Amino acid sequence: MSETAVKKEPGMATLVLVLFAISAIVALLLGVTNMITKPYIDANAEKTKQAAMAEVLPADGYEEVKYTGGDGTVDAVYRAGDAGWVVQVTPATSFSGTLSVMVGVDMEGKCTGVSIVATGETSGLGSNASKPAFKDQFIGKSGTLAVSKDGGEIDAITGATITSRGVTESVNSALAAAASMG
Amino acid sequence: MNVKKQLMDGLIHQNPVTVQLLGMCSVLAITTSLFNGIGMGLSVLVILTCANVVISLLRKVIPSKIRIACYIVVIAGFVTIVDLALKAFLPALSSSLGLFIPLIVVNCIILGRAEAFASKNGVGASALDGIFQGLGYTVILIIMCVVREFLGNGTFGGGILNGGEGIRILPEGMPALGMILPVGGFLTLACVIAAMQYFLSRPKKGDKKNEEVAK
Repeated sequence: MSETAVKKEPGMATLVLVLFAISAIVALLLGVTNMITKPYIDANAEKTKQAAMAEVLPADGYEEVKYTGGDGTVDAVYRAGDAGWVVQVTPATSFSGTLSVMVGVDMEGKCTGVSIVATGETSGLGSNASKPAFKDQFIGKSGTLAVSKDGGEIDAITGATITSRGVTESVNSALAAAASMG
Repeated sequence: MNVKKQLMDGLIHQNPVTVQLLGMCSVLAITTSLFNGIGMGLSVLVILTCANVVISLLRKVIPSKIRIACYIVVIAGFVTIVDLALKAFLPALSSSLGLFIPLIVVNCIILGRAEAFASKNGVGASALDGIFQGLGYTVILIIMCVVREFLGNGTFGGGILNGGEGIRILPEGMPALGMILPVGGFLTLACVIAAMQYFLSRPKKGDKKNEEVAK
């Protein structure tokens, strides 16, 4: 501090120039990093998606079909051969807003499995939604589901009722979306 | 600046968490499994060291009026680089820590060390400061993680050992879930700080520095 006080106070132009130069260099570095990591990040996302689809409803291949229903939380619908549908949902209810759930639905309109693709839910609580003890409850279920606190049959995760509701909502949306696809 | 003093400062006398009380938010939030603690600790260590080095290099260039803005730009840059790198090469850790990696930008340990140390010291000393302060942070995180995971979840090494489940020590149903919840974070942190202060405040043979810290 003392050495800057002795020196002449830098003018506005210097301040702008220094901050601009630093920002420009940082931006350049970030651009380079993004270029290097993007293929890996995309590959990871694709791998997670494929793994999630194979987990909820095994099939030879998945083909994205256009979803025409009015449910805004449905992100994408995939046709899984003759096995049924896989629906990706971002539920309106989630603890931190980044929940993305993949739901498998068979031809009879029953849920075949649930997988959490992306989650910003609390580590150690909401993140437990990925554990079989919770998500296997949905297998074989159909109709409109609710967590036990709301009078339904799904046992919510301890300490993560909101996340549990989000996942349950996703399954409901997915079942409705698959039904609308006929 | 001698290395040994800096090491002891980082780990004990000026520990970023238990003495300077910086970076509390991440300490309370992510210390629920060993994997999280080690991952977060090392991320902060890397970012802190890089930011310290760059800020120390630029300390004569940056006018004091806009220094905070410059520090934040540098720190945000490194945080984003680490965030992208984790997403690309360690997706499991990235999804487990979630928002807390981007939030390192506003972790006051890093800005605090930039302002208090790197802006006044040479590159070598600043790099060491980054490493040792980062280590001090990591050690506290690991202690918190081990305690909370054991009491709250009944396991050790969650996320790394035994295929990610951790080694079960207490049977299911016995652990107190509250220890994983935020309240457990406060309780554990308070105990760790209290223990640390107790050892720091014990009079040692003519060591004045300890007494100062204890006050």
